[in-house]
Amino acid sequence: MASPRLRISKRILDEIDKQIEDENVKELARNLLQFELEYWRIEKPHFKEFFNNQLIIYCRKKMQKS
Amino acid sequence: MKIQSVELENYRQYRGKVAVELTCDPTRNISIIQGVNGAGKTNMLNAVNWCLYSKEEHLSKYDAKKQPIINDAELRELPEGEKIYAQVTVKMIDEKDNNRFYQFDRRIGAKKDGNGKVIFDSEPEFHVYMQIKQDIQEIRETEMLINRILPHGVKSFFFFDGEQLDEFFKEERSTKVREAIFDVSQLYLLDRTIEHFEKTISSIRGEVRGENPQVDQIQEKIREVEKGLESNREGKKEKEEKLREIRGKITEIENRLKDCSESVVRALQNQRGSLNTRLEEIERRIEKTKEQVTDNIIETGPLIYCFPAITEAIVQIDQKAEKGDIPPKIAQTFVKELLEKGECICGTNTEANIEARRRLEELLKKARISEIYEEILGLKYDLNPIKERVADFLEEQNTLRKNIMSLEQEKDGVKRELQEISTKLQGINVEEITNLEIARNQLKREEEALIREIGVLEQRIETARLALDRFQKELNDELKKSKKFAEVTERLNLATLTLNALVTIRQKLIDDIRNTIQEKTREYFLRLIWKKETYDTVIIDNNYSISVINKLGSECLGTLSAGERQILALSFLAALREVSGFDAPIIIDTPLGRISKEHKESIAELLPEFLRDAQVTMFMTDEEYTPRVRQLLSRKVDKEYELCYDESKSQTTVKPYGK
Repeated sequence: MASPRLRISKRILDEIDKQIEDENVKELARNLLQFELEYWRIEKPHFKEFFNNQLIIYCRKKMQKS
Repeated sequence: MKIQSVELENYRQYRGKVAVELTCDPTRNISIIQGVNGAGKTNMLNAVNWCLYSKEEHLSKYDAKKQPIINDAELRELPEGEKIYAQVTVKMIDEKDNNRFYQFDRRIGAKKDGNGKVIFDSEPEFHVYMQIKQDIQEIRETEMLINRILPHGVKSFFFFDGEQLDEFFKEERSTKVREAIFDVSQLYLLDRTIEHFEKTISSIRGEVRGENPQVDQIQEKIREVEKGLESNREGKKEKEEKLREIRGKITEIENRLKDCSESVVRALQNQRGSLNTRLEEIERRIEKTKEQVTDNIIETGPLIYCFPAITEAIVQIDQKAEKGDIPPKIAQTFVKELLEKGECICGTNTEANIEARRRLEELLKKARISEIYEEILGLKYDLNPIKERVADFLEEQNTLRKNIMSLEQEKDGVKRELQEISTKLQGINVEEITNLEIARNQLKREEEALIREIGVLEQRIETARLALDRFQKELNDELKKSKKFAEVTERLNLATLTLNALVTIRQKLIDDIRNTIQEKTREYFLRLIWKKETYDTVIIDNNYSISVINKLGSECLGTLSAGERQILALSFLAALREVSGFDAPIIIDTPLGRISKEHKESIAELLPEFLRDAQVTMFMTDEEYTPRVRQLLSRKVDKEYELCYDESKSQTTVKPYGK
């Protein structure tokens, strides 16, 4: 069985590109929105765990970069 | 995404298999399905809705009661023990995703038991297939796919019944407009992410609990504020829900009074309708004038602070000018030239005569001061307009305040008239009317109280938010002092940065989208409406309340005819569709249903232009699809069908139009 992928609206993605300069923050914001989009109404995920993990990943990326 | 075909089998009046292919041509993007009333147009729209969403939202009361979902004749002839199905198949193609093909099948079965009783399946079966390269595979997350194509909350702006459009703006509308805008632009997605982000931040802060007394103390304050914030938000949500409910009940009572058999009640209710419209307009004008007062203060405020200094400066300049200190008597450039030349105006050689040179140098110093005086004199001409602007400001503010007072008086007058109508309605000797009016007044009081309570809660939320910001900064400063908290601080900083960006993006999108939808709705409405000299503009305000303003500047939504309301709803839906970014097909049942004969043609001419980028399917009656309308649409129409209903067989068949 196949599964389709939901898309965040282009308007929101464009606004993220415009308003956020830091590439790390941009990517993090997109990931969190994609997560919310896919799990909405379908199941109740542990969002705190996902959000926190994402923050840890992007903090590390930021530290590696600097 | 386009619908290639709709196939029906034994669905309601469609007996056996019936298939309709729709246009996928981007230039000739319209398909017409024509049929007289009762031929099965709305049920074909229902079939698409049922197949994709398992709902037949446009089902008439007659069909719901008299006609089962499986064709009646087929059910009658079904032998005992055998099973029959009603099935709808919708085939779609996503041209923006390599022409990927999708097939949606929904079917429901029924069989006859030994006593001839028909037993339906408790749930329909639903299967979705997707083409991946050369293979066709069944899709597991069907709801997810439907959400990607056209979410349930948005579909009513793409698949709709034209005749019911005028209801769209009849009842409490700001909630509908807000929900529509939020649905089509995925703003709920941002809301949810922001809410979850706030909770995550709070949980990260919890990780450093018990490590440092100072940090703990600030955390305690944050928790208290967050608790209050949460409870105020919940309270606000509940009250808003209650307000919606109350407004719905008020509309229901008002509609009942409007349709009452007593002519005096109808007249009073209509009068009340007009007075309410006037009241709304006055309130709008008061609000606008108050905004002007504030804007003026913001703009001129700094000048008012400087006003005493400006006045003093002008007096001093005048005094200097009177004394002859300004304008300067000695030109700096002239003295400079004499010094460079080495010869005074009297002919003395200043290179040789040191005393003469010293005198010239002293003169140059004075000349420099004089230059400054010249600038001061120039300044007077800059300061005078500022002084005048301040004087004008005071006059403008006085006029605006007077306007507000007179509008407030007018508002009180309208309120008194409304009160008189209410007293008259309560005094009418018909028990039902008196009771309705008493109930309405009670609801109105509850409505006012709720609006006040919501305002108080909003204020508390704002105060809590500011306090939270302050404590968060304090916490960050405290955490920075210790290396032990470096990792948590980093995470908190990144989280706060991202959260703030999302909050900004949300607000920007809300403003942009509301403005764009307002602009588009206005543009479409003013182009489609026939009374071009009557209407001036359409406004969607910050509270998502929609108003139509006439050329005299009055709000007139309440007085639009059914046809005009349909045009407004069509314009709003076309604007929503354009802003939504959903590349979904549009299906309209009886698009010109409520439009008078003489205006059908002009709308038929403009409609394809507004829906130019979408695949459009229109179900039209013979009264709508007249030869003239057909001619006007001909350049855009690719497929035309006719639904033929055979009453003797209770069955609808489909054939190419006119054959």
